[in-house]
Amino acid sequence: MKKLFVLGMLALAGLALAQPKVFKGTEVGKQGGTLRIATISDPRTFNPFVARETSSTDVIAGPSCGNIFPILTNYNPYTLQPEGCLATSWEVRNNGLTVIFKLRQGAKWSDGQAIDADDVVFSASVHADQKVNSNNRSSFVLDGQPIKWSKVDQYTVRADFPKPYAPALIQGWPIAPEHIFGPAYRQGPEKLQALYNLDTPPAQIVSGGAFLIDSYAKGERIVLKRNPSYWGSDEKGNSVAYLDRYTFNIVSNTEAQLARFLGGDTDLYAAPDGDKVAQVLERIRSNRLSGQIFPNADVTTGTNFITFNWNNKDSFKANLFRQVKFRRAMAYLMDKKSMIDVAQGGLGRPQWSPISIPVRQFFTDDVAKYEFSPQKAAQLLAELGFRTKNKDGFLVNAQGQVLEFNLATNQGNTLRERIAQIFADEAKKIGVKVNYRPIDFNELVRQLTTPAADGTREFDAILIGLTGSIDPAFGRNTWQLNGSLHMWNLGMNGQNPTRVEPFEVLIDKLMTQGATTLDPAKRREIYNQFQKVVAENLPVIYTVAPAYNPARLNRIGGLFDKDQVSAIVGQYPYIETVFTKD
Amino acid sequence: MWSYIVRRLVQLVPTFFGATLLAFIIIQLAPGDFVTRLELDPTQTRESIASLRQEFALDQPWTVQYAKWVSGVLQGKLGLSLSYKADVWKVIWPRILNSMVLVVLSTLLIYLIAIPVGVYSAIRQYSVGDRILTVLAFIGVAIPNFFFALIMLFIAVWLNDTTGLKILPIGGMTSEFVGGVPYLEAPWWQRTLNVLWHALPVVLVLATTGTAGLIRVMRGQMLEVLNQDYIRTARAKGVAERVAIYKHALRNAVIPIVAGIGFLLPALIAGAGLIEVVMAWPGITPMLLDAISATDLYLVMGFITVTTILLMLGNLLSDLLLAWVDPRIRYN
Amino acid sequence: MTEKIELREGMGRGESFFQMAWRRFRRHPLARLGGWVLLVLYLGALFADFLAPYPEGQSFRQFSYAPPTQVFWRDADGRLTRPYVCASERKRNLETFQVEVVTDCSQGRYPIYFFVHGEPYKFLGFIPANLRLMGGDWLVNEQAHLFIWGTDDFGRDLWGRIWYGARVSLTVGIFATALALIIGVFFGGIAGLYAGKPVTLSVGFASPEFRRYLRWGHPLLAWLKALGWTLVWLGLAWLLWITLQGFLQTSRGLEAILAGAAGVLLLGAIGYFLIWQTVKLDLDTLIMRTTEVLAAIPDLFLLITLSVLIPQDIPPATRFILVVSILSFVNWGGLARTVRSQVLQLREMEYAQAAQALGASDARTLVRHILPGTFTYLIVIVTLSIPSFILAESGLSFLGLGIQEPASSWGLLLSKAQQTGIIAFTERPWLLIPGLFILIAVLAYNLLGDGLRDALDPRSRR
Repeated sequence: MKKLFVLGMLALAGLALAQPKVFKGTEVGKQGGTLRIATISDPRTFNPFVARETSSTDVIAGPSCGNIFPILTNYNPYTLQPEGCLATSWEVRNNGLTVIFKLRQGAKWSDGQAIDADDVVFSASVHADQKVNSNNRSSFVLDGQPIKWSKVDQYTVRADFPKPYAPALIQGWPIAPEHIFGPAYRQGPEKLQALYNLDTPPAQIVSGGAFLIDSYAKGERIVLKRNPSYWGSDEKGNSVAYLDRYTFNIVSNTEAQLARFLGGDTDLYAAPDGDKVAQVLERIRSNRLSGQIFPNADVTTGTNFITFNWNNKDSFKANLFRQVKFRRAMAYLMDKKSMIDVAQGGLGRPQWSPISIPVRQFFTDDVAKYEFSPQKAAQLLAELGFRTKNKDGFLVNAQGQVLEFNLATNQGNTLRERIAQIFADEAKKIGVKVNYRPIDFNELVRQLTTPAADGTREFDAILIGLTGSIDPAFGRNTWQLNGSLHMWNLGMNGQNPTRVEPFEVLIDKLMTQGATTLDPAKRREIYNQFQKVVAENLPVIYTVAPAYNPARLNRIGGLFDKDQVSAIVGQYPYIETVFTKD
Repeated sequence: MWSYIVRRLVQLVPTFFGATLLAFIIIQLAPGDFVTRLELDPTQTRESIASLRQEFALDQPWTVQYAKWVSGVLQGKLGLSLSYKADVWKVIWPRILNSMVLVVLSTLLIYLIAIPVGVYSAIRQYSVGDRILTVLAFIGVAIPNFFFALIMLFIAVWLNDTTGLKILPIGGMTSEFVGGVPYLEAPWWQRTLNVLWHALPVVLVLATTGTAGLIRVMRGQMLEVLNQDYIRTARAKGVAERVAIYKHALRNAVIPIVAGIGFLLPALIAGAGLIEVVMAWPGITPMLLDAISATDLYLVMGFITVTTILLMLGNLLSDLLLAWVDPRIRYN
Repeated sequence: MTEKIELREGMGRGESFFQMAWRRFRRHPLARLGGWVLLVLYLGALFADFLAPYPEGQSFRQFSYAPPTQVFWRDADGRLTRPYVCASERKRNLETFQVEVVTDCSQGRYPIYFFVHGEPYKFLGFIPANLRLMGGDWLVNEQAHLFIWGTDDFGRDLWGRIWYGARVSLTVGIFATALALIIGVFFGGIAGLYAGKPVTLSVGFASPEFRRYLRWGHPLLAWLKALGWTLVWLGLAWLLWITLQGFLQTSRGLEAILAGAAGVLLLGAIGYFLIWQTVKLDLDTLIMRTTEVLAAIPDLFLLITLSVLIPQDIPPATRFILVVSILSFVNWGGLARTVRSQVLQLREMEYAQAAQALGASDARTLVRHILPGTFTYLIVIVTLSIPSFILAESGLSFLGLGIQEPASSWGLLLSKAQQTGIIAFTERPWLLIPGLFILIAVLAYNLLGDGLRDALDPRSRR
């Protein structure tokens, strides 16, 4: 009875004094105004359990604590260390096997209901449900074992991990209102999936984040408006978000996107290539646009690399590709300067190791670099027995086998097509016959991920990319021996490959260690070693990283300066503290 | 006549199944499915990929998938779009409406230009005017229309730049604010004007490429009618040339062209094609391209179903119209 | 006066239809112009190797998007001289990010010679040659470059690639039309000829028809045919059975009952056909339904999905053929319909009836007596459909699905302008030249076709 009373008092106190989260922006702003950005395609849904494409998650989740659906913890945009969103604090116990989260008391959904432990635990269980197929399911399974979430009291939840997991606090997954989704979920996953689709009237969509959905015109724009019951404030205690309206204009064509920014109809923009940078610069210099652009401010997290098929049907090729000397020779043939200049319009940086350059807390530049050198490549190939050339000018070995392979990349990706052609050109010059083929994306993925019954795969070499992530542990699927994207040497049915090289075992070990070590300094060390091993042995050969060239109009405040913008965080620390100056 | 219509409608059934089955097979022949794209996402595990395939029934043989789909259509459901998790009809209908705006406007413009120009060309056959108009019309056909759309985009940007005003829109279908208030809150006539303004450059491109064909048809029809005996009789009887041309000839020459309007139905749905992509118009084509590249099977099938039905109804409508205006044609 | 007129009319009566058509055609100055323009373009395509200073795929990456090379006409003293070029360097200004080209004549002046020996090539694919229109030793040694119409993104000479690309662009229409015509005439002819005369597909084994059928031809052949249709029917039944099973596994309620009933009904029907019934099919109906089906599916969808099916590890020539096949596959329906309606009219003509009555085979009647009657009509259709295929190829290239680099076509070259975006107009106008070539070729074909239509129209009275 007494306990209930205390709880009741606490709840009352919470009602009276919602615990605000202080969003520390780059400057204190003022309320009001509209931020307009352009997005390439329509959202597919407003349902956090169905959303998959960035076009949907950008609207309902966003880079901060959640536009519509809040998350527990996020990384701090300045330090990239975890910080609380809906969680005010957390406590790590049992050597990292248990984390207890305290929730923000007094936080409310836009329909007035409290956001509490029931919502968190419910959302966790739905994301984890295999029948729902939420895109966030991987945040609830660790190497095949489940992460359990349970309620301690109304404002406390507990997560139990099967083993310690370092990035546990930054894998933000959206929390949805239990009182809306719960009844539907209990009628079956299809009912849950049918909620909050694009035809749901915006007024019915309950928000626990900084914004509410104001309106949505299909194929045109989504307008978010300020959520007055949001639990954030600025340093001075004024409630945020500052913005009254936050508009996503759907502009399906990059040319029209640029034209709109040049015309002053879009506030934030990222120029994809040198030509577009030049146009923005020219417009700003001639005083026809009041804005700023930072060419080459950073590089994007996406990587492009060439990988060779060690499970080739042709045993000559399979054995060749397994030779580290061969892969180094190929690395020497990468004219990265030319790739940056021709394929990326003079912008971007060469990449040598698997961690994306913007991931500064783990990235190291101190790795083996095979700078462009056809002579060294030729020398290494000679050591492998390719000393003479045939009548067509291609290298052959003593058995008369020609040094030849196909290089595929996905059709329609101009950047990759150009990189592949530059590589094939240089290879041809020293007598390596590279047959460059752009192929359909789905076919490319099929060749990459589907071994035949005898474990062999069809392709020779593929130039492809993966989206980078803020924590290397999220990329384990690529590096662990039994991973489904262990693409150079793929095992069957989730098993390890039949023949593995010692360095692959080392990488596998490092990745497991990296994911389960909690001490940041030790993790950094592990990942440094990981990058060195990969750069030296080249299971995949990295090419160049495209530049991130952010631009903005001067009417927008609360943005990062040139030296602070990053491809990971973007142009502003928090959407909550972005404001308009006019 | 009614038995004719019923017979035609019954004939639609095999065509409908043929078209959808063929489309289904072609989609199935293409490598990969909706889930393939996710296989390259490092956070997706093997079992979550398999579980998704199961959810979308993509692990079933294709004949079963087709049968399921047909069963849905027979129940009046076009199926669930794989990426939108929503009824296909609800997903595509707003886009079809947007495309219709373009098609209706450009068709009107095409008829308004082509009929008088065609008549002029026929009356003054081989005159300088006829030749100039012929060449102009053919130039309209000869420019690849996506390229013409790019030229139009450039003109819009250049006009706005040199004048410093917003003379032509750059992409899109509506403005965010109309007359100072959000679009949806503006009065209906302002919204209509806004859409018309956005449609203007797109319609110009569409009309330019579409006019030439109709001009040639109109000219040909007119020439044929003018050579008919009854016109010559009329002339011989001393009917004024103007009356002969405008009262007797024009009316008969225009009939098949107007009756052919039924063929426009499928065009209404198919939209303006690649022009919509270049001009960032939120029509059906960008969505279809998206759906094809994402292998959103049911979205593509839904679109094909709608176009197939409308094409067949359009043909039927045209035939009926023709038979109605031209007593020489009988139902058979 | 009257005498003279009579004289001319007398001459006119002696003219053959084609002489008359030719006379009418020559009155069309625009059509003649179109013909001449096409002749020039086709000659250019034929002699592309000669016109281009560089081989088709040769790229100079450091000269990506270089503007047309400056050609000098006056020497240092300002006197007129043989045209020459100077070495140049292209770089991106890292302040403005604009591409700048610096031409430096201090290192040397390289005069352009005509009819020179350049990179060797094979004329018509088998005659070794190395004669090129312009160049010099400096061009082969790469001391300086000659890009008279600038370069594309890989620094390939646009002037040369336009002529190489003309080979694809100017033949894609012809081949696609020819193929569509063959398919269209074949099916249209069959449809027209067999309209209203159903063909027997299968005969039920237990039906009295079957005994009659066996007596009719060679018994071995008859039994082979019977085996064939049995296999087809059984295959269909098997497919149905599998589908039914899969379907019933995942559905319940009324849907399952109805589907089960429908499946059983269809299976029963197959059994009935196999045992008792004679199945006859009007080929005309089948073919016309097929063209309707093709017309019903949006072209864009067919083009895209079929292009994706083209395997990529094939030589460019094979790819070209497959692209052509797709284009014609999508478009043969219309042709087939027109041919059919013509054949339907012509087969009722006395001479066709007479040929049949005299015992000519169906094929012979069709090829010798009916199809020639559709000839003039087809000529016009052909000249008017070639340009539409040229445009269709450029559309495919716009989507990145047509010819693949380093091979070239006008559509592919124009897609570079599309990739560059609107600054192609202000910064790289040379990228628009391929568009101009498409325009000219399509226009020329249309004018030619228009003239031919007027000339060949038997109703025309001039």
